[in-house]
Parts: sequence; C-alpha cells; structure tokens
Amino acid sequence: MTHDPLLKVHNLAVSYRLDRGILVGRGRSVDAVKQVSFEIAAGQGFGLVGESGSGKTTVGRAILCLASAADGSIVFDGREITQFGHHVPLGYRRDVQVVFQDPRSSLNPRRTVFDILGQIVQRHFGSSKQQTAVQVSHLLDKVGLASYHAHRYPGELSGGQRQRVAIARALATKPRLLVCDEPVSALDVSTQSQILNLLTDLRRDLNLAYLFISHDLAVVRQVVDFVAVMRRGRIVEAGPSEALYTNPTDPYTKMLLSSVPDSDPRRREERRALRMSLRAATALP
Amino acid sequence: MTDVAVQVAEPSADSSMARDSRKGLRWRLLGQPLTVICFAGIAVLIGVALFAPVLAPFDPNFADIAHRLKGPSSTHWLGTDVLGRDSLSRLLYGARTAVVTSFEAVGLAIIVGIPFGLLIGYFGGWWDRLAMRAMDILQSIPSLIFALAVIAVLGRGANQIAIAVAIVFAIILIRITRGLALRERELLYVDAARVSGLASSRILFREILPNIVGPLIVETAIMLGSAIMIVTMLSFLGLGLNADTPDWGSMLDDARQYQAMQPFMALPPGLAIMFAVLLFNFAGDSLRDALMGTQRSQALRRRKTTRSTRPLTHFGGNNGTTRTDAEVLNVKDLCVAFPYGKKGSMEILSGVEFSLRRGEVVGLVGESGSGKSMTGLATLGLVPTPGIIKRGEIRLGDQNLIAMSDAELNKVRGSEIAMIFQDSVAGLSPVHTIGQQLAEPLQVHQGLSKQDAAKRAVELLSLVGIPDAARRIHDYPHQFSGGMAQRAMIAMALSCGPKVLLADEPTTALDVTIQAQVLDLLGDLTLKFDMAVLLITHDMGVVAETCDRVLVMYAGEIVEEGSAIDVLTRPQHPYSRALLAATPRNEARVGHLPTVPGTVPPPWDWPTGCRFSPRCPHAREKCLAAPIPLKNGVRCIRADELEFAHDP
Repeated sequence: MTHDPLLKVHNLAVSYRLDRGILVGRGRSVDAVKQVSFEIAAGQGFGLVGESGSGKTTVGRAILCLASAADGSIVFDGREITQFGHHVPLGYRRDVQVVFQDPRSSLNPRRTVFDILGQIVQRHFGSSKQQTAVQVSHLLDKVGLASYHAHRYPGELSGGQRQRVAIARALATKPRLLVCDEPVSALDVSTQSQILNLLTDLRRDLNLAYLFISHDLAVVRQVVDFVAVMRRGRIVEAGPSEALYTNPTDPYTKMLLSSVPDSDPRRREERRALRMSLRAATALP
Repeated sequence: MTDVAVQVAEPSADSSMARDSRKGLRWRLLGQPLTVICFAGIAVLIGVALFAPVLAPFDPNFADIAHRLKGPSSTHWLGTDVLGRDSLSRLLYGARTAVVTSFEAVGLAIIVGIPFGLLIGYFGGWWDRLAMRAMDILQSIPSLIFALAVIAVLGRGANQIAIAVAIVFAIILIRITRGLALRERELLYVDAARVSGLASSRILFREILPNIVGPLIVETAIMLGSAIMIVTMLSFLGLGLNADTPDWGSMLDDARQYQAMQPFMALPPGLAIMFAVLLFNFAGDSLRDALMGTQRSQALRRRKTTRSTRPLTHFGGNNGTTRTDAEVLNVKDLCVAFPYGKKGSMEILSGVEFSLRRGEVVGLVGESGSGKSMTGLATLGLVPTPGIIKRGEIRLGDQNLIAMSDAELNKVRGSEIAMIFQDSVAGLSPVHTIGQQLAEPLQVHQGLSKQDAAKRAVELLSLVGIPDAARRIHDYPHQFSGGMAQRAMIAMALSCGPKVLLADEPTTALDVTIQAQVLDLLGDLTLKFDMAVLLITHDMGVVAETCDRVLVMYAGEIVEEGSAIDVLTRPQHPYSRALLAATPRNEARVGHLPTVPGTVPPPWDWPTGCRFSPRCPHAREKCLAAPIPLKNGVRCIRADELEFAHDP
C-alpha cells in the first residue's frame, strides 16, 4: 500500500468492568479484545469474523467511540481517536457510520423514517426544511425505498425495509467508513442477498470503506477484500479474502469454514466428518 | 373472496396493523366506561376549580354568624360552618386550592424529576452514583415528616406546600425515569443516535423520552391523586394554608372540632377528597391498562387455541394414500383461516398435506410470511385466536388430533409430540434451574419419583452434549449461552420420548458454528430416538445439511416436495429454484448475488391462480387462470416445460 490507510488499528485492547465499587473504585475487569491490529484503505472492504464472544463487535464499538480503548491506538485519516473521550468531534461522526444487526431495535419505534433521516441531515448539513425533504427522498432512493416510506414508522416496515432505512441513516452523513455489525444476520435468506447486493453497489458508487463484522464467513466473502478471524479477543488469522477462503492455515478458520451450510446434500456426510475432526482439534481446554 | 379483493388497495399488511394498534390506544381508553367516567370527573373537577367564583353562591369567607353550624337548607345547600360560612362555596373554592396546589406540585416534580432522571440514567458514572446515594438518604425519611421539615424552613402557604410535595415526588420520578433511561440506553437505536453525532440533549428528549413517556404519564396521574391527599392532610394538621384560604383539609379539621354540634359538616369535604383521589387513581390505572394492553392481550392470545367445533369425520376412512408402519404423523388438507373485514375470512393455509416417518428429518422451507410456522402451530392445535382450523385431518398414529378436546390434546402435546422454538431462552423460566425444568415434566407425565427424575435430567442434559451435566443442572437459564439454552430446550422436548418433534427455526438465532453443532445433534437424536422431525427453516443450506426430505412452502401452500437431493439439485418449482439461488454460499465473489425480488404478499393479496406468479419470471397468462394443483410433487403447470438445472 502506497498511501496511508484510512483506518489503522494498532495493538488495540478493550476491557469491560465486571463490577464496581460502592461509590468510587474500579473493581475487577476482563479483557474483551487484546492486541488487535489491522488496516483498512479507503474504499476497501475488511471483514472481521468470529463466534459470539470473540470480541469482534467490541472492536467495532471501539472504532465508533462507543467503547473506550484500554490500550493501543486507532488512527482514522491521521487522527488518533482513542483520546476523544466523551466529546467526539462531529467531523468524525460524519466520516464513520454504522449499520447494526437488528433493525427492529436500532430504529427508534416512535419516530417516522423521515424524522430519523431528517434530523441527521439537519444536524450535519444545517439544511433547510425543503433541502432536508429533498435529501431524505434522495437517501431513500439510494437504498431502494420509495418516498412514501418516509412517513412510515419502523413497525410498519418489513425486516428488509427496516435494514434499508438503517443503511440510509448511515449514508445520511456521507461517511467514508461504514461499520456493518452483522447487518444481515437477523434477515431471511432471500432478503440477505438483497441487502448484500445493496451494500456492494453502494461501496462501488460512493467509494465507501467497510468494516464488515459477522459470524458467517459465507456472507463476509461476498463483500470484502481482506478478512481477519477472531477468537477470544485476538486475531488468529488474517489475509486477502480469496487466499484465506481457498487456503486457510489456522485450524480454527478451517472449523469456521466447515460450519457454513452448503446447499449440496450429496456432500453432507464427508463435510460432517471433517467438521467433527476440526471441532476436536480446536476445542478449548 | 370478492370483498377481499376490494381491499387490496391497503399498502401493506404491517402498516394497516400498526395503525390499528395506535388507533387502538384511544379506542381502548374510550371503550371502558369507568375510564370515560374518570376523565369526565377530572374535567368537572378542573372546571369547578376554574369557575369557582361563578359557581359559588356566596363569598367563601362571608360569615353569617346568625346561621352558624346549620345543616343543609335551601339557602345553604350543604349547611354552614362554625362562623356561618357557606359550606358549598368553601367546598368549590377548596377544589380550586386542591387542584392548583397538586398540579403545581406535580408540575414542579415533572420539570425537575424527569430531566434529572434522564440525565443521570443516560450518562451514569459518578454523577449517577452520587445522586442515587443522596436520594437513598432523602427517601429514608418518611415523606410527611420531610414535608413538615420543608414547611418549617419555608413557612406556611399554598406554594410552600406545593414545593414540599414536589420535592418528595421529584425523587420518585427521578428514580423511575432513571430506571427507564438505563434500560433504553442499552438499546441499539440510542447507540445509532450517538454515532449519528446527534447532540445529547436531542438524544435524551427526542429519542429516549418518547419511548418512556407511557409509564411516566401513568405515574404522574396517580401522583396527582396522592398530591391532593398530602395537601389536605397537611392542612388538616393545621400546617398548610392560612386560615382564610378555603380548603378541604381545614374544613375537615373544623368539622372534627364541632362534630358533636353539627355531624353533617364532615361529609362534604370527606367525600370530595375521596372522590378526587379515586378519580386520579382510576385514571392512572386505566391509562396503564390501555398502554400495556396490546402486549398483554397478545401474550394471552398466543396461548389460547381455537379449533373448529365440528369434528371432521368424513375424511376418516377413504384416504387414498397407503400408510406404512413407519409413518407417525399424517396431515391432510389442512386449512387455517383468520377473520378478515366485516364478515369475511381469509385462508392463510390452504390444503397443506404432508407425512412424517420415524427416523427422518423433513425440512419445511420458505420465506417469512409463507405459513411455515403456522403449519407447525396448527399441527399442535395451537392456532392463535381468532384463527381457526377450517378443514383437515392431523393423524398421529391412530388418533385424529383435530377431533380431540383441549384436555386430550394437552396429553398428546409434550409426551407424543413436542416443539422447540427459535428463541430458546425465552422458552425457559428464568427463576427455575435447568434441572427443575427438566425434571418437572418427567414427574408429571411419566410419574417418576423426584430422585429418578433428577437422575434422568442429568442423563438428558449430557445426551444433548452439555459437558459436566451433573453440575450444570443447578444453573439458571441466564447462565447458559444461546447454543446451550437451545440444547437444554431440545433435552426438554425429548424428555418424554416424543414420536414427533417440530423444530421451528431452532438455529436461526445462533452462530454458524453453533448452528452446525445443534443440527448435527438433531440428526443424531432423530436416529437415536427413532422419531420424526419437522425442521422449519428459511435457509436452504440448513435443509441441505440436515434433511432427508423437503417441503417448500409459499403463501400458505406446499409448492414442491421431494427428497432433499432431488429438490436441492434439480428444483422444479421456480420458487424453490429462486430460494436456492439466493442462499449465500461459501463461494468466490460473484459480483451480484441472485435474489428473489419482492416479498411474500399478505394473505388478502394472494392471486387466485398461481400464488407465486407476481414474482415469477416464468409466469404466463395461463398461470393466473385457476388454482394450481400439486402434481408429481410440484405446484407449477409449466414444470415440464421449464428445465432447471442447479449445480450447488
């Protein structure tokens, strides 16, 4: 890579407090993420894969300034972001956006789609009422929704439509990096491919960089150029995605790959035997 | 069917239902006569307070010494007090004091308590801890004594009383608001708002507040009632207002002093206090019922079952299919309908037929809204009201489940036929250990002793692959991970050795690795228990990994059935093919993934002909003419013309 990367995570550690003192004091804590390092170039797709509890979501939250780093650095476009504290600059909020897993809880049920999108447009671009309305219908168009959807509440939309609204919300600030935390896991298989296609198109059209977090390697493969596999807070294997998928070296990566359902029932028995042996090989003490 | 077609103009199923539920709040409030009376009463009380000078026949402080301590008369309807002042006029002006003081107190409490509670709940940290400890100390003082202390500092008067009451209420509101804000803070929409760069004040008041305002409204309604009580109590004790301000508390105090001479005096203020407090309490209660009503009635509905009252015997003898010994469950012509519109009904399952054999896993696959979960529920006789099973036959061995009473069905459910669901943690009771929950049905259904049941519970738990089962049996569900909870649910379903297991999306909420483990386990147990499993899923990959046979479902109909290998490698129905193509597979990037455009339409939008035709790229005019029969395992009249080769 000749240019500086858009995002550079170096030796990141994040810990969670298990308990706290009565009034003051720190209590015990546990490391959710340890020594995690990776880079994402502008317009690049980067996948972070692992089981629940592997710390992949925590990495995403640290980048979004929703969790604070205990150690290490996160540099976005030349700026150190672990030192922002409580006051995250609006410029950073504009550049880095998120799409969460479950659009049912990530959209405020009491506000219409127009309110959800409009307030962000106004906040970041100070648009007039008329401009906001234009922008909102433009955003809806970009994610494949019609302008009449603007006056719906999230409860009135289907799962796929809600996730489109969540993507529109992320695009409202014109970001450069999109953190996608399990964006299709809560959706029907047939809707999953619609959303994945949308994300692929948006990346091409808007030159977005993705941090794509998922437990499903098959889903990640369709959208990213680089993949890192996480287990128990650490990265166990990383590399260009096709190389990692076709020739995994770590047994844990192999085990994850063997768990992805295959739609050919004829290979069932041999896959199952492979899974069993890999499971035994990677079992934790 | 015609009146259904007229209403197709509705934009979507979801939207009309959501609108109904919002309209529902107002309707539920107005539908209860007691509620209407309460709100009317409150309106009258406020009206009296506003127009007391117009309504009162006398000046409340005009003393007619000549007519002191009189009972009701034509001039003084409610009699006079010790100074000969008109009781009715004092009562009306007293309403004004009560309403103004209590509204002032609650208003102040809202202005201070809700924002402060939101702030400490949302930001947390040492601010929160400090504030909470301070409030713990304040709340340890009885509120009446606390109010007395405030009055001692501030002096007497209506405003002072309001402030004293407001402080007590503000503390309560801070606690409630903080608790609600703490819960909301964990939800993703708040995280999303933070990432969007919205100002904290906006997040607090525009995002969080609207979501917690319901319980707060209920609380403040009840507080208004308590405020009236505390204000009258204080003035009854002679600590509140100046002597010439008419109020119900001091009227009651006067009545107490002169009750030997004029016992009637206590009646008007006493009743006024009682009714005012009752009005606000009932109003609060009915608001609470109306706000929570949706959730509660839905939860109830889910458990109730409705079946056609007429037993369907005419299917009994002459079914054409040959039944083998291995066949344990046979479903024929199952139709489920829900009322729709004024008198009509819509079918959401039409003529569903399938059979399950011992030792076999059958996949029932389709998108959301295809009717696959309803098929599972109907098989157990658990159609949610107001739905009914219109027609059909469900044979389990020699018994027809449709003709059974609820009591008979209950015996079958859990012992011969069992079901597991997607959200396994929700299916487990949080206050009982896994062991207790496993052992209880064994004691009830199989009559095992307590020790034997506990021993069997350990066996079952290790059977589903939970390590160290003898120790984990004492754990509570929250100590189990998602995959382990699903295993425990399977253990529970298997505890009575069922012949049939219905599994509704058992792995959808799990990681792929855990999913693979649970599916492998399910395959093993099917053989070990020699049972029949119906695996309901939206994922063709899951079908391919686990199932022997497949039923593909679309819009309440089975559109294709066959062996897993046939259907997954040579799908004949365009829907099966589209669904299979859209399943993300572990293969190199393809640019654009194939999709099934659109979604399953709501039942009232289903076409008369082929129900998939609006989304089918191969649809022709002849597809729309009439319902398509299931022929050679496919519900498509062009199946012979269309040759689909699929290479997974």
